[in-house]
Amino acid sequence: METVHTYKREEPATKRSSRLHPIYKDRHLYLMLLPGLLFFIIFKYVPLYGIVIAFQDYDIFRGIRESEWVGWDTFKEVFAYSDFWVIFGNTLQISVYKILFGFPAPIVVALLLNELGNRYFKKYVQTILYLPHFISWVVISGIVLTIMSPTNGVLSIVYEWFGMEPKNLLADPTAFRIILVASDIWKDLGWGTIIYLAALTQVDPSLYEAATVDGASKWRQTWHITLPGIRNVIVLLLILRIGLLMNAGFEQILVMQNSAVLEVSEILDTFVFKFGLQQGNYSFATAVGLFNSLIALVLILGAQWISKKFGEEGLM
Amino acid sequence: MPNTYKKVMLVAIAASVLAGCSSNGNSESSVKPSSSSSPSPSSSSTASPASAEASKEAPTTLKLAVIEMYPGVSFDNKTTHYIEEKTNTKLEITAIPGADFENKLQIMLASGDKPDIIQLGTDALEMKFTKSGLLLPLNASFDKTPNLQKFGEDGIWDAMKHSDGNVYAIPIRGSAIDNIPIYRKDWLDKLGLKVPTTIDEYYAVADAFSNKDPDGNGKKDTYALSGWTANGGFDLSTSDQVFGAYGTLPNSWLLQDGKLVWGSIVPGALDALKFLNKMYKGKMIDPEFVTDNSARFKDKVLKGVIGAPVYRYFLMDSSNLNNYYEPLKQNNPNAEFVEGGILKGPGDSVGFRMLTRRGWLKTAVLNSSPHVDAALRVLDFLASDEGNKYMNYGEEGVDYKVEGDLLTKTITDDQMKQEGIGQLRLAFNALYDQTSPRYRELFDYAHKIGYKDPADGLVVENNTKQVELDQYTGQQYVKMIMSDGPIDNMFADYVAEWKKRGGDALTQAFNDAYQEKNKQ
Amino acid sequence: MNRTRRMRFSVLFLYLFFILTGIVMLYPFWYVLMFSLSDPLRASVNKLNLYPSHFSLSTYKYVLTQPFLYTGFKNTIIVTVFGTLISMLLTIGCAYPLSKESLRGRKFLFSLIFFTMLFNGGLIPTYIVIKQLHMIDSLWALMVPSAVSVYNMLIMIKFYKGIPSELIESAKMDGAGDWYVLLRIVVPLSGAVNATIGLIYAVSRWNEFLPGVLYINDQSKRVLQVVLNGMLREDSLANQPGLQDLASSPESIKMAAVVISIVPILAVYPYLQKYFVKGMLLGSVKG
Repeated sequence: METVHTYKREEPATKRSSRLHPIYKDRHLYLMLLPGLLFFIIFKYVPLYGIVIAFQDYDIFRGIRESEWVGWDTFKEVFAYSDFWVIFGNTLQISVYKILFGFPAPIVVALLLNELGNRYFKKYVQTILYLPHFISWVVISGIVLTIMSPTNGVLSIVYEWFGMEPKNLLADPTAFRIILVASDIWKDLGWGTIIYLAALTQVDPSLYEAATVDGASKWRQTWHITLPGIRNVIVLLLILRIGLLMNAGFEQILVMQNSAVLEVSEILDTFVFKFGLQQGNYSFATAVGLFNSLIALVLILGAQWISKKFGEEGLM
Repeated sequence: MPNTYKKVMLVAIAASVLAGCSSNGNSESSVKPSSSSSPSPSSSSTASPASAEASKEAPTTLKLAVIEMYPGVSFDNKTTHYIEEKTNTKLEITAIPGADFENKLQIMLASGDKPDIIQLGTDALEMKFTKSGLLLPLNASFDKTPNLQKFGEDGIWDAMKHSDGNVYAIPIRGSAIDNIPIYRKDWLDKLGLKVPTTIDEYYAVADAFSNKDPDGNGKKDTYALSGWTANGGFDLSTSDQVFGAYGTLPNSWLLQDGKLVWGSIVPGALDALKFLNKMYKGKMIDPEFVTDNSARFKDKVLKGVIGAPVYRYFLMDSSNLNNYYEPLKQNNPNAEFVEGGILKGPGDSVGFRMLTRRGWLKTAVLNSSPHVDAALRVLDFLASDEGNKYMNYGEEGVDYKVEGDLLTKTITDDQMKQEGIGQLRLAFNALYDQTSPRYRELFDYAHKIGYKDPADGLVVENNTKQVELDQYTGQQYVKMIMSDGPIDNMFADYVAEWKKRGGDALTQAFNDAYQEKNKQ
Repeated sequence: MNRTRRMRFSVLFLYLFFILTGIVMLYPFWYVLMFSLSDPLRASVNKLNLYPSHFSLSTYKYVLTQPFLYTGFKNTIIVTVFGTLISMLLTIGCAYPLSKESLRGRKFLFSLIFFTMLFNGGLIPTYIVIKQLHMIDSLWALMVPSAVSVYNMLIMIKFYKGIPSELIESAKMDGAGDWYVLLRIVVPLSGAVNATIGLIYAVSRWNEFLPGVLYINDQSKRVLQVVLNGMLREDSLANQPGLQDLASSPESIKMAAVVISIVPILAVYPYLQKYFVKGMLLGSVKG
């Protein structure tokens, strides 16, 4: 029986290649990279000068060259907004809840899907699980409103069963957060499984055969073979998800929030939308964007550092 | 004007050249050649002097960036050609879809695209553009554009005037207009009630509508009032009749002793909130009033859930403007709404908020345009009776007929779109000739009971503060309406916080602007 | 004995779990479908719509006769097919070299690319670049400027690193060059991840809306989502009171538009299923 350990990387010591300069030796690899690098330089690095808008009182007609420089004023204005830190806290809180419950969910479902024996059943289930991903938040939020309606929704029926007075949960701050997380999982659970399902194809089937012979239960197989097999991918996605901590779900929250729950549901992105973009204030929007990017950078580097401490390779 | 930015690439970007306008992107080169020999097809007899003058020259090519009124309908149609012919122009129109309209407009402008005529939506953007010196003062050439001058004589130009005394944009007003208090007439009849005239009578009607099963289905599924939320902000206008009875309108300016006072923070607002709170406790307000969106609210009114809100009077117009009347009847043939008046309260009552005279859409000419005369010619023509009538109804005898007092469309809505009628609303004023007499009656009535906002047309520079304060007000109002306990302290805290957050400064700024404007 | 019964029970549980989850996940689409099949005057946003209220196909008749719907489909298909191809070529081109730890300057190149995931110049400078490249009003603007997602690239690198180096080294011993290794060993062996990333790219191209509004003026070059959005009108402007007359298309028509935009992309998925074969990678090593 072979095991994965057999495939551990060994540094190749071919004599032929050692004679050549490593860059020359890999010239074809650099050539492969070239189109991609050009893409990043042209479409990502060239427009990067736009970041200076955050430090200007940007006037679209004067452009960046002639707009007035205001230093940190825009940032000061952003931070001085009465509810800025509340909004910042909401963003973190909603995001952390979404990671806590939303991150493991597709992994669990992917593992369960992996156990399905009937291929046709699996195929249809998978397709159905993906469906909500294709429906926009505007529509999904309408459905959530209908289900949660205290007057004619599913929930009102449930309340009636228990002889209770129906409540409008979407106007309740605590319940609203739960609804945000739950509907987020509802929409993207299935879609989230596809990367894990791809990762599962990389696990060596002979390991399971060996384990079955040894009499290991399904549960033990999952724990000792499957999960370690896709661990790298899980860690990568987790680090990236942590990097996206500042993105708590703009579209979803914008269409679902209301005045009764605004104080727990206003996040940085909706804030920028209302007070930056909708007001045509690009400096404001750029400043918050830059603030977000810096936080994302710190978070990703932090997560990467921690993953290294745990002996994972992390991002790459 | 420091406009040296990126002039080099102008050629590259042809504004969306819609079929019919030749897709020749280099329109810059076609500056009006005065020695043209081709005689103009213009046969205008009623047009302004400006367009008569123009008939001797070759058509001027104008670039327009406008909101897309009819998605996917080409501008190569008889209405566009009619305007072109009448004004001796060639129109190159970029139609920007409603979503991200202002965003795209700004990005186009920032990248160096400079159309001759643009449209914009918000006051915030208008302020921004004028501050940058981008827009042409229209009043400077009113002598050349008599129709345009006449367009706003009944106070519109006053509302559009900036602190420098200039008018930079033409407001477009559509068919969606002001709201009035409405009551389900069939419910009133069934319950043996009359249209309320005082706030106490309103309470009795609201209670009966909500708790005496007016639809007779044996279930508690009707309410007097509800509301809706858009972009996380609560819309307060559906309960204007209650606030009005207590002498105020939230999120609106009141004139008290010659000074502007914010209607959300006056003592009358507290009384109105107490009233609404009592209604909420008495199950007269739909518990979903804060979570529904406007589509769901509309659906509830049409499906017989809500019986006594302030809402659109299209509901009572059998010409089914904007698709209100037919769905209502379809769901319940007996359903009928009737209008109410201003409710008598403990003090002086206030009428109903009307839409701003500044319009939902505005048209402006860019200062940088090389064809200012031609641009004004187009706007002036569309502001004329002839142009506006054509934009509203098309060609007489072909698209509509006139019978006595009433004008009847003879084509379907879809044909209307394809012909481009109402597509290019540059200086558009909705006419109501084709609507039912009942509708016109309601239209007049709405203006009679409407509240004339003393601050309409005042724009202050820091618009963001207003947005922030309105959002905060919505939050606190909802809390007070849904509160289990007394709300006096909550209201006091709200007022203090409102002032602290910049409300006082905003009030000052508006009062200054008000004084300034009245001096003129 | 006890054990097999427990197994059977867990299998039953598994199927039951997926049937229930499936029903919950199917509901949004079902809601949209039933809503779209309702009579526009009778349909209600306040109902659960488990079945059509007054069955009617009038919404589809309306949507399918909209001008530019078919050009929208055509443009979206072009953008999706060629855009995904471009994306895959560029992403694979970056991912494979960067998956080789021996590559000199790998860390630097990686950081260079990774940085763009976090920092960007914003809409206006990007628009100006696209304009300078004469891409405005061209479908290229919808395919190229957002061709590579760093996120997807990172996932791909991770999978490529999972390919046993023996395979690659033995091929190299036989004289194979890097191109041969990439095209004949790495890509064919990573069917699952290529299919997955390809699907992610295709779906995002299909659903993309904002670039279609920003970079395309010509009505005949509009993509499906922009054409359909004319019917949806869920924009912020439409929430303003005066704009109600722009927003008055009945809800059931919006739902029909949603159905029409979803079904084609869904149809693609089953064809990708064959790449998700367990153990394909390692099977080939032994074989």
